[in-house]
Amino acid sequence: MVSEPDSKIVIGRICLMILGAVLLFLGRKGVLEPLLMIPMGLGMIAVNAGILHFAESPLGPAHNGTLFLDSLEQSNDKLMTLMQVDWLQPIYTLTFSNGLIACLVFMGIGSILDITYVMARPIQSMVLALFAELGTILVYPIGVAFGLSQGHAASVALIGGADGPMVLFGSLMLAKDIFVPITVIAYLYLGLTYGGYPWIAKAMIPRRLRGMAMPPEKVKPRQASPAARLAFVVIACAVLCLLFPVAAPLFLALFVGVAVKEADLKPFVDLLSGPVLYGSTMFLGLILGVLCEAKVLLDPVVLPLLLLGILALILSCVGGILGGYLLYFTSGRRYNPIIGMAGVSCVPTTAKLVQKEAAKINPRAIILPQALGANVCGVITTAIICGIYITLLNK
Amino acid sequence: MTSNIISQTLFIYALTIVISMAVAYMIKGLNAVIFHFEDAHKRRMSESSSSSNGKAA
Repeated sequence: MVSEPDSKIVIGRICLMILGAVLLFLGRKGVLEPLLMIPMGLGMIAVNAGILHFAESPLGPAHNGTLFLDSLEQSNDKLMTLMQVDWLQPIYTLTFSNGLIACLVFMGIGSILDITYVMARPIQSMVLALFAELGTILVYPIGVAFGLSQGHAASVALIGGADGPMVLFGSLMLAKDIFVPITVIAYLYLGLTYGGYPWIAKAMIPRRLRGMAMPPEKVKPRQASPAARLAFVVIACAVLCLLFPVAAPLFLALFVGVAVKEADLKPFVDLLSGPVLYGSTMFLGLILGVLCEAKVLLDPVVLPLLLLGILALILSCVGGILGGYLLYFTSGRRYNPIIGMAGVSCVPTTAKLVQKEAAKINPRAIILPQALGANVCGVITTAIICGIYITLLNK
Repeated sequence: MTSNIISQTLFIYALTIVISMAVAYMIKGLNAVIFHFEDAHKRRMSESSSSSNGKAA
């Protein structure tokens, strides 16, 4: 006999079904990231509809999961059983909860990264990226002030880096008990950055500056050869893994993607940038959607995470724009400050967003190379902060 | 507790700045070294091709 659910839970499930439909619709319209939002929205609708009338899972009162997977099960014996019952359980257990899917996404991202501008102007790109980590840094003490533990506060602060796989990896290391809501919130918000960041840019940067074309540089930077770029990849990967062994899987995943691209291994580039990246993104979206069950999201611990997550992303955007202004003033007003927003490492969304906003005002404003430089450095700085948080707080 | 967390945050940001800028300068230095070797290689290649042209003439 299955008991009737609490009416609050039923209302929550109906609201989440509506939210799933909205995400799916906005993804279809291109307002939010469609690659993530369409499977995620459908997953949310399906899971909440499938268990709408159940107080407990149909598998029994001891089984807290859903029809599709149980994210809370810890016992190896029960997991083995669940993997033979719940169809998404194998993907969740073998790729999601151990961070493998984050590393696969990182490999795919690495294989499409263009590090040419980073190598030509590393200092400039890195300064922007450091400013754009404002949210990742400031939300940590704010989270502790909200009563979160240090690990929980650091995990939610990582949302400010706007790097989904990094949030997943960091929260698995620092806040395993709440990594599901943190990751769901991070990906929900990452979709929203697509629609929300242009408004922050409009509020902080006058139209004239947003559409400013970058004048040609007096001294043109020399382009590094593919061999030089490959040497950089090898040395940077070795140094960062040496400094942060705990974040080494992420560094290796990112740099193996870049190395494959720079070594011009076309079959591997096609594999990583196609099936691996898109396959992982699709299953990531689907699993996140399925995890958006009312019981998980109506937990009282989620409310501060919702607030702190959005605060982290807003602060990072504001910090990036301040960095853009710094370069604008120090370069003799020749630098478009909106590029700072690309320091938020949502690769390559924020770089494309920055270019789109500038081109809307002035179609001749080509700022994508600079934006991609800041974007790539954003990934590196977020990985460094993730490594520092894990090293200092993972006890 | 509060001052501890604030000083820890400052330390984390300072450490991030130091490591990130070290990576940026490493890229810059690496570029300089690689360009130096590439230039030297090109010079040697052009010298050897001009000397072989001289022999052929």
